[in-house]
Amino acid sequence: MSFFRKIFKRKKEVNITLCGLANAGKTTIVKYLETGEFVKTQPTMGINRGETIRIEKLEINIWDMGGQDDFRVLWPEVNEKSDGVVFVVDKNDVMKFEEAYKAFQEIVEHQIHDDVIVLVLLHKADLPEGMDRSRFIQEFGLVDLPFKWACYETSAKTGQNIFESFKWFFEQLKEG
Amino acid sequence: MKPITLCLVQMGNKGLELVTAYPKVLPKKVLDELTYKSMPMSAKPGDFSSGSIGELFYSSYIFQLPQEDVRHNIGAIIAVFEDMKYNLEGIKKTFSCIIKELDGKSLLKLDIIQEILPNLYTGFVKGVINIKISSIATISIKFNDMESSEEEKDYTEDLEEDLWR
Repeated sequence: MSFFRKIFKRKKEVNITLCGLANAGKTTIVKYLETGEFVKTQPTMGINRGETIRIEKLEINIWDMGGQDDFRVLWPEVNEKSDGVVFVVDKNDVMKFEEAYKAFQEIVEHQIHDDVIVLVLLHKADLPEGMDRSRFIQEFGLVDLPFKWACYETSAKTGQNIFESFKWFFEQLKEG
Repeated sequence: MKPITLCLVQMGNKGLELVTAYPKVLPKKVLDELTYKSMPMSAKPGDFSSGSIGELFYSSYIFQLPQEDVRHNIGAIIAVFEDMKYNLEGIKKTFSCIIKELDGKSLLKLDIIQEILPNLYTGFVKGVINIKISSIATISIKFNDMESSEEEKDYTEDLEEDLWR
């Protein structure tokens, strides 16, 4: 294969991290992406390396981060090398909204580079209660976010917007 | 080689937390270190991990704690020894057998493991585990001597003999 053909055949490798409070649904989302099904999971011990997803010329390495307090010390080092961050919020856990907001602010203010793509998932949308998306966008400070971002309501139980949200996300990563 | 203590750890809201230790012979500082070392990064149910803390040695077996309406939790059962010459494979098999038995009888719950821990410890000390976990369920495990059954060969002496031939 000629040198030039090798260059144009070269794949782009990107790293994405999934962050969010414990039990937000991060691992379940990763499992849904891998299998297309809802899989009951258990807490992530620190960090899980998900399957590498290959789409056309894009190779996406997934880093699924544990959400307990003790594991958030791992986030900065991994997010620093990240090309895209997915922040998952449990739509129904209104009591932890403030904590989720602080964790998210910590990431966007101190842990990621300016050109990182940010996807915020308002997860467990299959449950009846919780904050609606427009109010969430306002209160989570997304409007003023200095990154390319999107926010979707998702559910790994019904599959709602899982593939749609990541389609947007991967397309941004491909262009970047 | 008998364990000096058995410990039970689970994932709590903030991270790993010690549920109980039996007997309570280790200082808090050691128990704290044991707690966070009991499950290595990326550990999953079915994993078995060994290591050391100071002059102590431990082996832990990680398992899933099934829960009905919420996501499953994760826990670890740990045996701590004063010497590294213990039957690693025997510990792994015993722990996995107990967890499997409890799971098979839908009794894999933290409070039940906590309750049987003293009997489990006694079983390890005696070499025979016989635990009644309910009016109709008993776990019985007889295992070989915890110490290695092979005599350690002194390879140094053999080498000396070879050199002088």
